Amino acid sequence: MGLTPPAKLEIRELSISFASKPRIHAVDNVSLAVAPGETVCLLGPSGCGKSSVLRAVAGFVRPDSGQVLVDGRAVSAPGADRGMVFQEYALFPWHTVSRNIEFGLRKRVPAREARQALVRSWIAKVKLEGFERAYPKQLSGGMQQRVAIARALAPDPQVLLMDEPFGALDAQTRVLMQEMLESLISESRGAVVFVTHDIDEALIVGDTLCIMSKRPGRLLETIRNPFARPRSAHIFEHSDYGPVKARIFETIRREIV
Amino acid sequence: MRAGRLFLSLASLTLFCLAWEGASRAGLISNRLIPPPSHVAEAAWELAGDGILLRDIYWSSRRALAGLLTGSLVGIVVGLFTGRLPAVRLLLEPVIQVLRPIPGIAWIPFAILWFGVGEIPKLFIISLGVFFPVWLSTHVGVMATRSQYVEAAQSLGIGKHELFYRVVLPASLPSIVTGLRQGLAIAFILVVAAELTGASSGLGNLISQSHLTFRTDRMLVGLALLGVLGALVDFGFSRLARWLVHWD
Repeated sequence: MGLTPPAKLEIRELSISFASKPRIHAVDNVSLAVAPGETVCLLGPSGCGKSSVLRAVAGFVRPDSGQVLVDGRAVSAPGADRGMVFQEYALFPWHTVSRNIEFGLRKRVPAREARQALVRSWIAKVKLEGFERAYPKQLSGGMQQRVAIARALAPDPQVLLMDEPFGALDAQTRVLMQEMLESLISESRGAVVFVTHDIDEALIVGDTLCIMSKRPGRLLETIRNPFARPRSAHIFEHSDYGPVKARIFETIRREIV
Repeated sequence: MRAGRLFLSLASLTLFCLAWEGASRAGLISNRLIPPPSHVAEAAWELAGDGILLRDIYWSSRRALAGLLTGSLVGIVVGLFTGRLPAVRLLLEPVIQVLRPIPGIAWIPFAILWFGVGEIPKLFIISLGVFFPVWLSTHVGVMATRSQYVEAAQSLGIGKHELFYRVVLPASLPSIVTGLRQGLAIAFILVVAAELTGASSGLGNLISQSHLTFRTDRMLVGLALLGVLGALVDFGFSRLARWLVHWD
């Protein structure tokens, strides 16, 4: 790592287990580094511990051993430097779209006028004009997840963590969301860690793909995405796409029991 | 549509009163035991003229409201703590669960023994009765708060104390409101019970005093007012609840 630029996010020898009966060893000695502006996809079969890695980075679970560093500083508790997007959106149902996006901005932007201007700009970025005063349950799944992404990105976190964010959406919406995400995070110099079990999704979203083994999750292979940014669903039409996907699938196939 | 339903409700009530009046006049029911609506209305007019009616409504409402506010406030605060903090839960929950099934009315003799007569024992009984359902619904609502709301808020940089009132409280509000509605019904029951056993004002007192002088018409004025008051308060509360949890 000596020659590469300093990582925005670094995970060092992370191991996680859960105190159930029998004890579940979820993650085994995972290390990876994410550069500023880079998106890393954690790819692997269900239950391989990829979400646990993400939750440890977020500070929601305490690892048995290992460290998480943001800009070289170790972190353990949750904090605003690491934004999170959940599969089930987790929007606050008692707040409107605007208030949800505003939630993390109170301390960062104390002036009300400036804060609301920022909220409006994010509503425009995720194309939700006209829905400012709607409540989450009035929105479709794709719209809710756009609010959740705007809510997480608005405070400009150093690290954006996404836990299968499009897993609950239909296939068409999912592709549109992947493309929108691609353009949103390309403006940022933060690090993105994106958890998915979908190879197509990983190849659109990820600059780097980290393939994890079945439980206890280890890093099996790290692949640079051969398709350059900006990526869209058009990569599926590329003649290299089939072979690349097939190679990744072969690695994962051996891990599916 | 709304006007039509209101009309039907009024028609139903009118029909009920007419049937009752008719049965009384025909001698089917005893005028002394169950006086007809016309006598009750007369008694109500008389009591209203003396200012007694307004005074009794004022005192009953005031006591119920004071007990409701005190009991709810304590119930919500304690429920937030027992629901959120395991140490407080371990310390308090068993005690509350043992005391909770005791009917509020059973505390009346003790309340009189401890606090004498006057407003304090009434406030005590009503607050205590309101406390339990409000505590339980708050406690359950807080425990059931989706952990993702908490995690999302933490990732947005929220502080420990802020988390309480910006996330845990609104997330539990639908459950709390259910408890408040139960608390309201209990406050209504207990204010009458407390006034029946020892008071010099209030609708419960009107009923018990009229009982001593065998003024069944006045007793029925008290009952009818409790019915109307209860329905109005419940209607008002359901409006308030809809406003409080407008997103649900």
